[in-house]
Amino acid sequence: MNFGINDIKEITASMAAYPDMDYSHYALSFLKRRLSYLFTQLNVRRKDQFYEMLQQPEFREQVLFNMCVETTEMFRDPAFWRTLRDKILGHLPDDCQNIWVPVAASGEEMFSLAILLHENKLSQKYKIIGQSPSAGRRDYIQAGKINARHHDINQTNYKRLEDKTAYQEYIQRDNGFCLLGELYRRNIECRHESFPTTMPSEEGIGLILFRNVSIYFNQKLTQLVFSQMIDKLMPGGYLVIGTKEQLPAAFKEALVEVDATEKIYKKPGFKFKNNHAEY
Amino acid sequence: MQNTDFKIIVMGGSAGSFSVVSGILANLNRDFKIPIVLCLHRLKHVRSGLVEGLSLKSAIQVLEPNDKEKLQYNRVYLAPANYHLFLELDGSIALSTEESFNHSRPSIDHTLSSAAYVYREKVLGVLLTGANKDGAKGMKDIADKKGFTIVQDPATCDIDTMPKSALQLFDPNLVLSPKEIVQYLNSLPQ
Repeated sequence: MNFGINDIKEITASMAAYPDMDYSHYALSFLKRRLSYLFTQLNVRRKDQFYEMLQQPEFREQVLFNMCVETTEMFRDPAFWRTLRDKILGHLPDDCQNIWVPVAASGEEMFSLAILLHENKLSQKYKIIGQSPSAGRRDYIQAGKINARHHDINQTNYKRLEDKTAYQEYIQRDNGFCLLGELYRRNIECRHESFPTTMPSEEGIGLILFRNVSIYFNQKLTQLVFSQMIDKLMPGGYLVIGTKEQLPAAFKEALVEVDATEKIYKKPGFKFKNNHAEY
Repeated sequence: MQNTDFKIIVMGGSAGSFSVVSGILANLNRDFKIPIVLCLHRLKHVRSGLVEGLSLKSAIQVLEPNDKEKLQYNRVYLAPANYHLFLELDGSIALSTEESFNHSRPSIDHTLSSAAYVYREKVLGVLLTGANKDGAKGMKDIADKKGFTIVQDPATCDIDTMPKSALQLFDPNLVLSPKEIVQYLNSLPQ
């Protein structure tokens, strides 16, 4: 189906009447193609049919599931993961306990991080908190499922990062799925929650991975989510966005650029260490 | 009379089109104003090199845009590796990591179709040499919206699958050699 601007506004308005389904501040070009994809996936032919079906909770879950854009690859941008491993993970604030992935459409981002933490003996130290508006997505992630179609690229990305072939050791095959081994996902907690409506209650968030998420938002929603994330990030903590995303101008004073290529930013702040203030 | 008051030029080709694209950019007038958006098939994991390679000879600045970057005159925008590139109604660029299309990310069809939707008769689409059918549907979308379409003459292509796929779908306004494409672009009112 091919939607015009008025169709998109009408459809998103009807969706926004339900919890966690407000897509009205997503980018227009994204909505145009995603709604078309959604109607095709769910075999919906008319808008009024869609509105009627939205009344069913099971259908709404399918909508939420299909509106999510999967991360598509483990260790996407290996150079980023190398930088994270070499320059950031060892420098998280002393009292950091949590790493937050606010929009977890699929598990690749959390799983990649979990493997990296395991290899650097940091799994016990940090919990990885993810949020997904879709219960189906949450279950998928919590079970460690990885799209088997991407196995080769996942393996290749890992090899580019680590220069070794240990990736196979982390992955099990099960009924056509690839699964991240249970041992490596014990510190992962994916919740059925929608960001920015709901925020994690935990404090001590020292790293936020928000790569390639705001590309689907309009300016208004982008401003809101950055404001909330920076507020939640502990002083001395890090925020990461996609390599082709831009930190909104309004927040350039609130964060210090740590790595321009990999788009890693640090929230200034000080802590006392050995009786000296460290900024 | 065909409109030549273009707001944007979108150009697609596969990895093998590098030398053709490089030749076109090298021979454009230095004051060529109309923004050019390039969508070339490229290796997903190689983030740098292509823009630098094209910049070596290009008469105008070549850059890889960030998401939400506004188009400006006298610039060439190259779709980044592993991202689709779309055009927005407000004149900005939108990037996406959505599923590969025609086994490609960036997909030429996606870029051309979004340009057709946003700019309609104000878009000029150019499809160059290539090894698969990606781009053919996007070019047809431009033609359907009364935009102007140029397909590289298959006789001048290293691999002609892409232009031939387009020619099977619709009749472009022009079928030209790379040299003729440059001449046509340089003749446009700026």
